[in-house]
Amino acid sequence: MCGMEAWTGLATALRRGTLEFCVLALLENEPRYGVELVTQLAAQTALTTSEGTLYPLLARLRRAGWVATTWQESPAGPPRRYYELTSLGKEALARFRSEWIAFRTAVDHIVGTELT
Amino acid sequence: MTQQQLDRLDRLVEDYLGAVSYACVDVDPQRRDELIEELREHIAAARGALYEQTEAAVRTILDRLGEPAAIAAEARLGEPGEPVSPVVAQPREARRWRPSTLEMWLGFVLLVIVILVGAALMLVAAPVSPSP
Repeated sequence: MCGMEAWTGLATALRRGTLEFCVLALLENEPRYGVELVTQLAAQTALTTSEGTLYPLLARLRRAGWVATTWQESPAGPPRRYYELTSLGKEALARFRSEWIAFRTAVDHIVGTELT
Repeated sequence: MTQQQLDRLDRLVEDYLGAVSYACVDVDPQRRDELIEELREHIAAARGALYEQTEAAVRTILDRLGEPAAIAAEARLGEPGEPVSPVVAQPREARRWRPSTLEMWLGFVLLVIVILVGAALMLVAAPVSPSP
């Protein structure tokens, strides 16, 4: 592994497994519709690939029963599909938080990236 | 904006969705339809928020959605029988058949058997053959 490709691969690998929980976290306090959700994720450049890839990810979360969709009227244009966290999704997010802290702490400790 | 111009923008959107659908040819049809539907909603919502329907603005919405191949790759994740980690396409050269250690040993053993059998046959045949 060398060159640019390896670094792109690393970013993809790091994103995989964490991005879906970032989506759950964005839905924690209120349901959001697709465009709103992708705009918020896009603000974090390290997390986004392209906006379109978010929809297959949302579909996976829905199949896992972590996210549910509802239709709501929109102030302008057609009704919007809103994504909201289910109770299973809340549990998954809580579990991820504790796993993530342990993971992050271990990596920081070994790699030497602890915040001082 | 004339109806003709709007039709042109709609066609741009449909072409894009068609390309995504084509890239997802090996994805479960129901999931593929669902994905196209959600992308269509995304585009409609994003266009609804535009101040003016211009070709540049619509192209920006589609560009931000990204390459159909990238969306298809994400849609294939978690499909039955599909590995969760991305499979890096190997160059054709690397995929060419190469004998494994076991296969090389079997080949060697076979060669030894052929030589031994040949030698045995020669020994058996020797007394029968006329001597010069």
